[in-house]
Amino acid sequence: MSHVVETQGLGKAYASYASARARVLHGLSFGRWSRPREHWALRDVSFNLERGASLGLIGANGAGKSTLLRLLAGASAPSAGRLRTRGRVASLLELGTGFHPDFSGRENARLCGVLLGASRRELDERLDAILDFAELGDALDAPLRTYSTGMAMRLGFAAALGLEPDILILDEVFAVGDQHFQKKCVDRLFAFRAAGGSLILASHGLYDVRQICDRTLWLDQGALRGLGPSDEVTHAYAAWMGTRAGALDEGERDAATLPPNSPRLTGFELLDGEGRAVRAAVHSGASLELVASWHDPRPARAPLHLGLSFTRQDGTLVAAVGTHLDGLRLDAAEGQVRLELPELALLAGSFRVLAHLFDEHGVHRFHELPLRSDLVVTARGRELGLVRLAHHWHVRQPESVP
Amino acid sequence: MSVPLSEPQAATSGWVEPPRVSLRAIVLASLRLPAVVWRGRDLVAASVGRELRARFRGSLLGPLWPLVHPLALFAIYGFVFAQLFGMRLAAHGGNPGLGYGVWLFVGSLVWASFAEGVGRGTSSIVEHRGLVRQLAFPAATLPLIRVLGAALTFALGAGAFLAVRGLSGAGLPDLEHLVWLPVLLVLQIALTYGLALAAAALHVVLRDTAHAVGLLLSVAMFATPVFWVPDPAVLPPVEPWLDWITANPLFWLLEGWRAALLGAPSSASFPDSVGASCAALAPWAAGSLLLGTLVFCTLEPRLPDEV
Repeated sequence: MSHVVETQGLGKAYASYASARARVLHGLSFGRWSRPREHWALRDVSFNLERGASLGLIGANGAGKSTLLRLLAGASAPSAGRLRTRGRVASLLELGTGFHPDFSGRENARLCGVLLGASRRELDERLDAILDFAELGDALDAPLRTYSTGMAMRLGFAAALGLEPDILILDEVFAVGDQHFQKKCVDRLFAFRAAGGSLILASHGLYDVRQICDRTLWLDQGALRGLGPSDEVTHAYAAWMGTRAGALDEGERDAATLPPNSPRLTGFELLDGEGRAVRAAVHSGASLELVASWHDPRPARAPLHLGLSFTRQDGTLVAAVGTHLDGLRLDAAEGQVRLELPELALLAGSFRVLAHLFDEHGVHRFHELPLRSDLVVTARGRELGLVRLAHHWHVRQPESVP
Repeated sequence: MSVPLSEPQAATSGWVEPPRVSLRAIVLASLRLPAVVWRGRDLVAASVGRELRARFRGSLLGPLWPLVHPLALFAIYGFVFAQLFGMRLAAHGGNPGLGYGVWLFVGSLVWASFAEGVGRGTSSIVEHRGLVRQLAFPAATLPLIRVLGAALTFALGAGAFLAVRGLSGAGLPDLEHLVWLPVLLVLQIALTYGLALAAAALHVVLRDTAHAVGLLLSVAMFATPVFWVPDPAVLPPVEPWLDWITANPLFWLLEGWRAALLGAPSSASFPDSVGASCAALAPWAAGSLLLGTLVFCTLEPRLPDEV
């Protein structure tokens, strides 16, 4: 397989001078006197990216994600090691870079394209498609300063993707815009990858990284801490962060605020083994059913997926299941999903249960709905922890001598 | 972007490696710089257009402003100096229509273009730090955009001047002067760009540069005959200084434009030919470009990180 990005022992140091005088002295002596203190934002990072593959980039703030992206985008040269990219690289590290408030969306899209390296002829060919994708409507020829943040972001995203790069570098930006546009961006990213494009995505949204990226690179204080399949690395990272594993429960949305033709959850409730609604605490080991109903005003567009997650009050994701994870699909305009939980493995505690309605990729969340009240589990035994693991003991020991 | 607009240290193998700080690396980067700027020509053209239009966006007269402004200055200078003070240039004695006011007007137009190009060019890279930090952006084009913007505004003013001159019955300057105008304009841009490029790169690593440049421009404005006439017949004290005055490239820049637009030199002791001014200016313009290229290429590896 051919590599579109290769890095070998990549490092980046930033100089910090004690004073302006030290800086001048250092410059005038051609680096001999008054050396600056070096801060290594990135050290010894090596990885390859195959054509058509996608790499997630995770790490705490200040871990060196942005520095690595800047090196890959060619904005800055490494201080150690080397890197090589093949093909056209488009980067969207900061939305709105190079936009001018007094110019129209059309003019700004042109400039943005020129800044990203497109020739005039290429822009002439692609400008219409770019503007189409940005969905600016009548605002196309109005000055940019009259735009909402979302509109400006749409324009930047449309310009970067519209140039059909071989390698696309995104920094967190795709969590932008309204719900409808986010969905479009996700679709476009999948189409980009299906067409053989390679993607590098830095994000704090571990769920997004897991769904979109095959492999993930975890940076910690500038050093490579993990590189491998996204599931493994994001879980290791989440465990290290000691916080929520999936961040699945962000921002559930009141159905009233959804766009009118957005797919939505119309009901979500918890039933006991006999099909009665559960109002009180349940015992660990009981049989339960979760029932969720959906409605899709425009079912023709694509199948939906439904996920259910159990989260402890401190945000730890305890368990999550989804139709996309188990190979099912929901095609109809409306319907009901019933999830049987034969013997509840959860131990004593209070759990937040959320239903999520996803797009066909299991990435974009149309709607999220919690159970009306948290699931409270009581346990009779003295077992500790979150869940009761299915288990059998086998003891082997010499006969004790009385 | 199959070929990135700026390739920091891309070797032939395609590997991007840490920049080497050596004389050889600086010379190599300097040799590459013209090609880097040329690859960014679409960007430069679009941005110069944006600079010019941004000045007049939302205004009623819009693109007419670069003409209205010099014409108003022209009228004021002409009225105050030629009519009120009755000043005449000795060298233009035979042509009373071309008084000190017109002479001053042309000089200040050229000076404003030079000072704006160098002054705004100096801060250009720092003001666009987002581009230089985030994209593989050819930073050397940023001062060029400002310089070209100032030069084009000037060219419009010069064109307006010639139009008024033609319509007012004074007639156009001789063809032998006019053919030199494009050459003079190119030399002016080269001289201005070289200085702006060096100052812009220096300003990134040392923020005192813009202040120093502003001060130097003020000094240079008085050291150059913008307001005063370098003709012993008009201003006798300049006599012993003539050698110094003519050693100043900006003198030749102004003299060239004055000879071209007015059809006569400032003083009978100067050559009455735009070509002579161009010849005197050319080595300075080349030297300025060389200086700018070397300073920029020396500092270039530091720009994205320190801007």
